[in-house]
Amino acid sequence: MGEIDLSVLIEEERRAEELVKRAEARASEILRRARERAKAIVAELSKVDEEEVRRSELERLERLLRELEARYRERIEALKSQVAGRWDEAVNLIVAYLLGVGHAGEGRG
Amino acid sequence: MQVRDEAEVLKVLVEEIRRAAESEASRIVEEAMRKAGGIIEEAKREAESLRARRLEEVRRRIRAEASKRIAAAKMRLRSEYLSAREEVMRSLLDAAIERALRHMSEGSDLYRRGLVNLVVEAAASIDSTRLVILCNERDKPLLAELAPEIAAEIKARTGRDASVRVADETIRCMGGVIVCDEDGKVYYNNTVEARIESLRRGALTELLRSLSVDV
Repeated sequence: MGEIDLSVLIEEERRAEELVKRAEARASEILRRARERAKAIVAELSKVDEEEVRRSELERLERLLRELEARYRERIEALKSQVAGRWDEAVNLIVAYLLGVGHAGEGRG
Repeated sequence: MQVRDEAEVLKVLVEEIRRAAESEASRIVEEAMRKAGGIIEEAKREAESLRARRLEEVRRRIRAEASKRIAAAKMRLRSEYLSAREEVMRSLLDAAIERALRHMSEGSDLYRRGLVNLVVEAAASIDSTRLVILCNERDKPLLAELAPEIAAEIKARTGRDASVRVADETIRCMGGVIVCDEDGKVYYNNTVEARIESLRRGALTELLRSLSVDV
């Protein structure tokens, strides 16, 4: 076997190195773009529309207050209704208490 | 023949170099793309977390700003409820007082029984065998008439022999009695006014609860 033409191999090695260098440059560009995109994503997705949040939070609080108000109204109506339904019994019981013929006394010494 | 062999070997070597370079280049690019994907995912997570923190901060600030208004509204509602409750209880009490006053002015059997109970109840808390009853002008004759029955009832309920007399002086009250010992040092106020006060202090709530009225 005679000698192999090394110049061909050297040229091929040079091309191979160039190919790898181009790949490294492309990889570097891919990562640079990814970092830029990441910054944009953080900036964009972390945005908070304060006015919108304020509006929605105030609406939520208003709703809570309306619910609370409705609960109090219900309690008041329930109390009035319960008392109205047992009015005579309640009055008789109080009369008995006042006159001393009902519950145990609570006079003061 | 020798030249052809050399060309074949060279071709194999060249292809090997080329294949290795292409493989390395692909690996480098794929690795970069994988890392880029990770960077984007991490950025999304960071953005989400940052947004959540900012939202919470804004909400906290708004709640703090609104807290006074909410506290005032809650206080107003509570006050309205208490006023309504007070009104209901006052109406009941007024109706009961009116009815009780009728019993007292008529000297009804119910009131007579009540007077005995009021004196006995008062007597039970005074450690004396000589008891004096103070009442209004209207009830003096009634209590004088009931005194023996009251003494018997005290004996029955407390086991004590106590003398009971109605004081000459009278007190201003709707009805009921103040019972005291002979010296007037120990007394028990069982007037209707005292019982009304007791109702206002909490007994009325208990009475209504006994009727399953939730006040």
